[in-house]
Amino acid sequence: MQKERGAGPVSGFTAMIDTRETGALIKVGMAQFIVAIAPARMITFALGSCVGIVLYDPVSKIGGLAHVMHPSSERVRNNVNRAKFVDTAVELMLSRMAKRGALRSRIKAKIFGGANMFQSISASPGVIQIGEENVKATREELARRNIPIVAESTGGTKGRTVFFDVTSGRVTVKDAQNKGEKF
Amino acid sequence: MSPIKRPSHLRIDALKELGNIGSAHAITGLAELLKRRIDISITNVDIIPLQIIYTLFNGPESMISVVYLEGYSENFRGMMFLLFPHPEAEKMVEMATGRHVEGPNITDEYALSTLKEIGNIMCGCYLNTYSTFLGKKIMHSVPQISYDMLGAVMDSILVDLSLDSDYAIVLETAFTLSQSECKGFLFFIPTSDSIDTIFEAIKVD
Repeated sequence: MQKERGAGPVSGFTAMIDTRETGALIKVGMAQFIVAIAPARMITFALGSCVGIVLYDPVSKIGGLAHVMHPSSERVRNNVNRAKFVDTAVELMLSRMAKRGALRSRIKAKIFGGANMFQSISASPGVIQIGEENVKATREELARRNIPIVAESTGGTKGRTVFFDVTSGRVTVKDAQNKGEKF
Repeated sequence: MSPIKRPSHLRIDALKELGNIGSAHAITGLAELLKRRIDISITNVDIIPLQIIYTLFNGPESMISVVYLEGYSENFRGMMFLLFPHPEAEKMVEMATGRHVEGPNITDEYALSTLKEIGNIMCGCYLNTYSTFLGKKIMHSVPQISYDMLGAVMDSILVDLSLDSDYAIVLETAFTLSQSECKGFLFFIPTSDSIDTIFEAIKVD
């Protein structure tokens, strides 16, 4: 088995990185989130049923990107990693952004992912699709906190790679077939 | 993070041996189907953080074809999948059917069905081994197929597992069809409860 460690700590599920100096490209791993200030750029690879949540304050230029896996941290045996769940990840990310100087009322959201990678599952009615559940939970969580969703690309059957430029708030989404769509 | 308890060396060896027997049966199934000689590696057993699975091959964006099914029995559940890095799946179908396959995205129903059947035979044979050792009947789901980025496919497969733990015990076997250099991988990831069931059944402390 060929093992290559991706960038970033495996267990360090939350991170605040100041990239005012570097403008480096930050990789956001599965069940991780990053909050950073412009000119930071972030990328999270290959969202399947997971959801990528972009939160962004256009005035203070503070943005966050989370790669969440599950709709809810409640009734779960192991919820130590709070960046794994929609509800706790959004809460953590907002508080980190507020600490950096982002204003809650200015924050906007963009959401991506929540695909159904195995199509035959979708054919059977009554089967819970985790992707759909994740998107639904994300919408509800953001609505509960009065954060508007200004753009989204969710559902479908294709994985997505999400690239987020904090300076412009622009998100580019790539899947296996297309070269990149702007949101 | 709650790392699962690392099994002793003896237990790891026992898992390796089970993996070897299982994959040998699986490969025999495939070899009979294709009437070809197939070389296999020794099963690799590893406890790895789930995030690392995403970085196998050429990283999370590498294109793969996966035939996936789930085996389950009393106190036993495992994710089993047959993985082909791009474009090995097309080669495999061409070899099995003798028909040319248009790549890179396999949309041909006949080709997809062939791949599913190969996955069905191989994973079925593999799980049968476990069934023998556990003394339990193991049922498995119908095979599903996906062709996409590695990370995206793994997301969907590992989503259940990641609820309980951030680590997984992964049994992995590589195989190569001689003369054609068609390469594939057979993965088996039992849930942590199933690992206990396995050790109990084969009486390894």
